[in-house]
Amino acid sequence: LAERMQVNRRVNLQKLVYGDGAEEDAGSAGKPDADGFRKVRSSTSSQLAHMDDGAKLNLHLGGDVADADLWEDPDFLASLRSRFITGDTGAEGA
Amino acid sequence: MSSTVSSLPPLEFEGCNYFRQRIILSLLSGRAIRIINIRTDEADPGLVDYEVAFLKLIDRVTNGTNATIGYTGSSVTFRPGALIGGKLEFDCGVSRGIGYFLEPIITLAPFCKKPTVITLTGITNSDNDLCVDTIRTVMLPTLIRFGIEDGLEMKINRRGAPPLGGGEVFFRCLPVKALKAVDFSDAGRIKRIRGIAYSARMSPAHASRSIEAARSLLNKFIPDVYIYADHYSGRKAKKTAATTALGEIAAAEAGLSPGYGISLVAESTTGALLSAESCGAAGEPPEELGLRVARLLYSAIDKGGICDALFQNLHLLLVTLSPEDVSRLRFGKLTPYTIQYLQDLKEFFGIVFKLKADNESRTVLLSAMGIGFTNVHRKID
Repeated sequence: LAERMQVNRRVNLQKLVYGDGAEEDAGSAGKPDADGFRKVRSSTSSQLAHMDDGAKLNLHLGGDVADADLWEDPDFLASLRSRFITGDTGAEGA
Repeated sequence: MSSTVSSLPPLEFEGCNYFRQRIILSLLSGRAIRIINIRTDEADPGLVDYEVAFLKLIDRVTNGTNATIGYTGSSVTFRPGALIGGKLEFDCGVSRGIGYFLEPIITLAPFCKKPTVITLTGITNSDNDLCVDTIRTVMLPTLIRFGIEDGLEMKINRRGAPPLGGGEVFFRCLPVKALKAVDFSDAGRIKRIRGIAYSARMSPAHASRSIEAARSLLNKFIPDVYIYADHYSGRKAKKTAATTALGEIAAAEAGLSPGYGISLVAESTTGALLSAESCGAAGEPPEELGLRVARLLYSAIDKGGICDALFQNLHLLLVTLSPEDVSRLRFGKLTPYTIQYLQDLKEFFGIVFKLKADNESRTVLLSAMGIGFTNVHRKID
């Protein structure tokens, strides 16, 4: 839940994703080497850069695993219920 | 050839992650790439068999592509050719699932010169890659939303579970001239949940038990839940009522290994699709699998947005390639994979998404103007 609350903090997403040079052109990050290849700055995490590509686990690194404890949390259940068309009535079960 | 920005300098990346996405972006942008330091710190450095197989597959759907693997295998230089498509059969092996190969092919197929008609064999459902069910029920409707709908077809001919695989999937897609810009900023509310529970070379009870367990949790929030049971026996199977109702899953004999799994998709009032999937682990009771996947789906729903983490990059790519008009998306929490993808899109296409956090719904609103990518092979109707 603490992690979910953190999302509420005001962060500059633009800066977080693109770094300080978000407004710069794409071609300004590095100079081409002798073969003409321009080195792209490494990933946000070097550990992540060396993981296997496309594994579902990689995609869920943001913490997608549904923790069993979460199912006891009334805030979580209330926020989840609000996502359903039946949420207004608080209807449970068919 | 499609519109490219090949006059820009080639790019160099590091590490084996994002391998497929960088190859795809290279093909679509026309920019050569070099990937270095591939598994250099591991006991067995360099490219692995499925990455080489992927390059072979790309070579077959393109013309003029040149992929040079370094002497030690830890670097690869990729010079993209023209996207051709065509009819082909490909054995994906058993190291990775069919999803590993099919996912990038689906993103390339609309921009090929000829219709892409491909039959892939291998592992259809595994916990490592996207299952073919989720690709069919989430990825294809996403393409349709962006204007790729002509002749789009996918059929699961045979299930193949790990370790031996033996599954078969048919995919067809016609070339499109251009995509559509979309405003997909409203995630809506979940109105129904659909799913498929499959069992291959196992008792059909495994699928029905996992369905019952998943329903026990899903029905606490919504009554409109329907999960198909899709059983494949070891011998030639008869068409069941469930497969007839689906109309797309041809009843056929199963692959070479036993396995079972479940794939769930929640659909919102605005057409947002959120998915969760998993396969039964050895010794795992079907009830546990059903509950685990239902919880994963609820976790994806709780995060909000118009898609789950598995399909954020697909949406970003389609928005990038869309016409020069503003498209909007709403995602839940951005994953590290998505953040890297946003950075790669900027490197390849120079496109920078405007990101705005919506603190009330704990989501992120993304907007960008597409690059106006057009497939010049396709004549205007």
